[in-house]
Amino acid sequence: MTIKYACGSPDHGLARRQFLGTMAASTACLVGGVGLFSNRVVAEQLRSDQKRIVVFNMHGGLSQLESWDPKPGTDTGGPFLAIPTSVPGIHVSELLPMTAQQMHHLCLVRGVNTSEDDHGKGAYMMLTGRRQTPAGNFPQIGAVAAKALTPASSALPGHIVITPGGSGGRGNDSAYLGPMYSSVALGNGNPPQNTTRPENIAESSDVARQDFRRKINERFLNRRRTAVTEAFAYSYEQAEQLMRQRDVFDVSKEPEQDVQRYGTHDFGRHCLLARRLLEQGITFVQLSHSNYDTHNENFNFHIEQMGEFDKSFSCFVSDLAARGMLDSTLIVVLSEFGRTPNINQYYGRDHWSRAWSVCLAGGRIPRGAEYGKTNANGTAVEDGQVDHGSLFHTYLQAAGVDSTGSFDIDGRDMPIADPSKAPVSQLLT
Amino acid sequence: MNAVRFIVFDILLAICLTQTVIGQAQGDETPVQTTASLHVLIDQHLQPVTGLVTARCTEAEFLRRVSLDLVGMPPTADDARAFLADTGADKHALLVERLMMSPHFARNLTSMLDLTLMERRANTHVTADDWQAWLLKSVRENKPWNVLAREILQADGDDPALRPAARFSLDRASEPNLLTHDISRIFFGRDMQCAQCHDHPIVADYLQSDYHGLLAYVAPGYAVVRKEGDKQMTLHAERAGSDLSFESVFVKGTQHRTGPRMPDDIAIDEPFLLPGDEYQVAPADNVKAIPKFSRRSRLAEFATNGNNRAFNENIANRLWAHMFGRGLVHPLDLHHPDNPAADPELLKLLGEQFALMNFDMRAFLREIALSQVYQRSFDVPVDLTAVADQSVAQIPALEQQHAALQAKATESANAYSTALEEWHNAEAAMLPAAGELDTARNAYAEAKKKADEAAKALADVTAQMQSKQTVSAALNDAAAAVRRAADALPGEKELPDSARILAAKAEQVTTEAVALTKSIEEKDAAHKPLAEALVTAMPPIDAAVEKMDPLRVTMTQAELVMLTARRHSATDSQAALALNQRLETARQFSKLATLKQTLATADAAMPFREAELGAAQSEMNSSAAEMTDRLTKDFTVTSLKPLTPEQLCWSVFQVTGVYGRYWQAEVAELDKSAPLTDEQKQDAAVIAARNVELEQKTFDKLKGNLGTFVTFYGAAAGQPQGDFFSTADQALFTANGGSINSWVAPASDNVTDRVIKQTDPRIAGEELYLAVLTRMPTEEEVADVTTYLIDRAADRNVAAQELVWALLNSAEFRFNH
Repeated sequence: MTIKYACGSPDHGLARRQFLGTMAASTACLVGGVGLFSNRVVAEQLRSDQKRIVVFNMHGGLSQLESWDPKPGTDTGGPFLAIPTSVPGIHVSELLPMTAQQMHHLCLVRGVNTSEDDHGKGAYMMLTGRRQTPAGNFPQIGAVAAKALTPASSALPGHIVITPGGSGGRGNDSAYLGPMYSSVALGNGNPPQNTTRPENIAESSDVARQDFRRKINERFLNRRRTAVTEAFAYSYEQAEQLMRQRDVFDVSKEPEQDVQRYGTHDFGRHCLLARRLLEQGITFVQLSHSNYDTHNENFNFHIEQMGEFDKSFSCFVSDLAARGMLDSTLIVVLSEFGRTPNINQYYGRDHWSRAWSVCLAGGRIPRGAEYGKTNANGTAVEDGQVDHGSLFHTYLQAAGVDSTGSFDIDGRDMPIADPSKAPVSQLLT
Repeated sequence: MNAVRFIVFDILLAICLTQTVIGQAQGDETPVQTTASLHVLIDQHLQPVTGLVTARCTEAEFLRRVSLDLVGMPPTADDARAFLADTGADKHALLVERLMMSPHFARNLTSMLDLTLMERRANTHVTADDWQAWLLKSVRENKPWNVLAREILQADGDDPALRPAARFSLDRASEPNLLTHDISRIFFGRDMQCAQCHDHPIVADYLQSDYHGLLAYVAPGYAVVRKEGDKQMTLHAERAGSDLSFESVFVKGTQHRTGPRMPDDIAIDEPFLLPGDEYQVAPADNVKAIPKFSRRSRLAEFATNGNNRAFNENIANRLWAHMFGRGLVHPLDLHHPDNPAADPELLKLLGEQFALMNFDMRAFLREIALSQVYQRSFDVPVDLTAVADQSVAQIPALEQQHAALQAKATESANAYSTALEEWHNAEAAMLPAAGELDTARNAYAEAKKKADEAAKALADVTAQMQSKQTVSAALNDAAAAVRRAADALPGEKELPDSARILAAKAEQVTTEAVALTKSIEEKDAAHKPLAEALVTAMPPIDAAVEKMDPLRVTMTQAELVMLTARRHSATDSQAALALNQRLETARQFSKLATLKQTLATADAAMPFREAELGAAQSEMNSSAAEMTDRLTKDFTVTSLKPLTPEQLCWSVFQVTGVYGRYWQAEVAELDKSAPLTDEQKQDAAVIAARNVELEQKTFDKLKGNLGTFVTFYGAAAGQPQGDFFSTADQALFTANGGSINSWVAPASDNVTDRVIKQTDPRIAGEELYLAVLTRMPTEEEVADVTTYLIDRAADRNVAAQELVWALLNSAEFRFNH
């Protein structure tokens, strides 16, 4: 009476978790998903050159009208003009003069409708590609990318989130994919926690204790070697490699000239760090720019915020293009939602999810393109409507992942993206 | 008007005498009462299929294993030395007893229950501290599991003494589907989430009707905020429930309907209550509703009364897994016929015996700890091919047995299919009548609402009129009194005026009252037909009930037949599958012997058949790995169990002497602030209470560090906590984080200090291994330590720390084995 179908609920994959024994049958196979690709489709994808994803999270809700979809001269347009870009016919807000010059690399998606005006829920949908359900949780794009795209041999974490502050640590964003794919936070762009040897421990001392550890481990593991012991032993090797490669996370190794170009503010430094991380082979980087929740003084805030963003982001795009990384790197600029066309009495704009924009670049995304259209004053999508679910598929497809496939989670097939949604074919070349 | 009508209820009561008040459908076999200890019974099971001799773990391994399992940390080096030197025959039983008397026993079991029940969910309405304190108190009192479970399932958070118990529901936001999911997983061992919208796609046994039956118990629950002054409190209140209708998203058009049903049971009978009569306290803002019939109470009662096999076996399996690192059924929340227990009869026995032991967790864990199975080694037998001949010899008999069991399983599966179909037919036959009853009920509810509104309007006007009449009478009295006063004081001019004013006012109010009389007549006229309509709304209900009763009885009978057939089918199917596992193991043994032969032949022919040898070697390796896997699953060899973050934290503190130092500080503190008299020091009860106090104080001082371990080693909040993972950040934490490095530094008489000061390298090595790994080192290991310390004579302090650190970071320490 077994029926072969999936309803897409996360629990379809949870019920059979942890058949440890099954995994123990093959010692090459590690617990906790140490570079595990149980899905053949995904494993094959790996053989082509490694793809990467970077997500700019415009925290609070970027105004599409002051960025990607300006409506000058209308009742909703606000005070700013639209300016031409490097692609004839495509205009963006005058707050993005430098980014406008990179338009030939970019693709504007102007028909986003997510129908969710709550910050938390909107962010959840945009980052997981699904709606929150009470009984289950879904992994974020970073965890999915880390699992699907990180080579098994990599000691570097596949899922990095650069946070504006904080001390770093492991995020809670991988759901059933497990803590192996949780984000490693770089608090205010600093390298991961505990990656430097304490001053009171000499290098020789560390080497000596690690060698002794290996020796006694080996003795014990000769009695019994299982998937869990392998994963445990490997985590120490991975830690040592991470320490050796700590420079990967050190943005101060970048030339001063670039620091100036990107801007000396935090966001500029984070963008430069993101470039560095991607160059060094990190699979997924997410960084955020705060705070766009402009219920008051929307226009003044956007002048200030867009100014920072425009400078750093345009450098980032042009550098990736110049280094030939755009083919292998997907860039996503998203928010939890956009902002109301209506301007409120405090010169602010409120939460608005029915007609807003996302900016993409790289991978299989068409260059110098626009897709989707809102009406004259931006109050509704007229053409090319997309939502969080179809975008999520599209991101993954653009980075070379078959988003309609499944992960094998301890013997259960888990759809990589919402099976009731599909990628937007017009956004994929 | 009939207040409560037990029509359906009464008839069913007459039919199924075994159920209703005392419990629900009982298992069709009564548990065997036995005089033998449970641990003896356990050892009659899980015997290897072949002549393979199971190896016993060493004394030291037993000591570490049972200490970690029962008190959550290894013993001190001194305790280890004493146990290893003890030659008494009963030292194992005495050790188990001693551990169970320790205050750490309750702490460790509380942690296991907490992780199982709450999975590190964030605090919302009840703090984790309050909840854990309540759990700990319960475990210290040795509260039986069924009582604990009943309190949790029942709690609404109103009774301050039981408010922490309501955390299970409140901190899941009283969300019915989340609660159904988690109650089915945690209390019944069945992850039925995927059966919400359709029969489970992979587990044939989990039906959509099972999910909705449990949901029907849970769905009336809701969160209500009650404000009292400036305080507000959220309660997990309950509404009156109704049947749930559902259909599969894949099989559209076939409607189903269920009342409350829990796993391994039939739907309960509920009293028939007329609309408007369901509540003792009706739902309203700021009010905790109280239904006359509480489904939640029935769930709490029927699940925990000892008769629900699913409930009993779930907890027996979870406690087993706590001791063995894996359940007889594994994963713990996938009990179903196609995933049989390693030994189905043993699981049945454990469930029954645990219920007969009144769900005494302490006593149950003691029996497991005393079993021989628990004392098996984690070593895989060196020569897996040794028992090949015996295995081959057994195969024919096993095949024959399996064929017989398979035939029986097929037969009972067919019987179950038929019974299921008949139950569905009975359901389909009942649905139209149920629909009619719904219609009649709704019409009655509508009529009642209108009649009630009209009656209220009438009552309101009547009350208004009465109040006018009262006022008018008072005014007339006052006017008369003033007139009398005016007559007595003829000089006062104002008095007659006042009397006139009063009289005029009285007349005015009287007129108003008369006017209201007219309104009363109107309202009364409006109410009359509505009241009559309410009366006429009754007969359709009676008629529908009368029509439905026999259909419902038929359906319940069909359901009982179905449940019995389902149980038989499950038992037979599991028996066949479990035997098949044994058969497969026997085959695997003989396959290994053949491979060994091939290998030897190829080896002898070297160097000419190199490729063949390589292939044979690789097949041998994977077959041996598969064999190890089989032997782990059937408990022939013991699993390696990762320490939980909590166990890891306390174990690190224990072996580095941090725990002992804090404990001693608390001892000194208490001896000063509340010294014991000589008499008290002889009183075991006083000493035990003192130890509980000391444990609590030491815990409070050190618990801040627990959070650090949870951050690095714990799974995410709301995710199952049993899944093991290893990440680089853990290894970085122990290597470079301040904590571990500071704890392995020499301090008053800790292991590092003793190693530094010990001039005899052999004794230093023994100190090291006993303290950290709870065993004596081998000669080779002594030699290693000796060399290490001699080479590093110049910085012996540092070298000793390195050694302790290395042992702390070994797999041997990380796992319980």
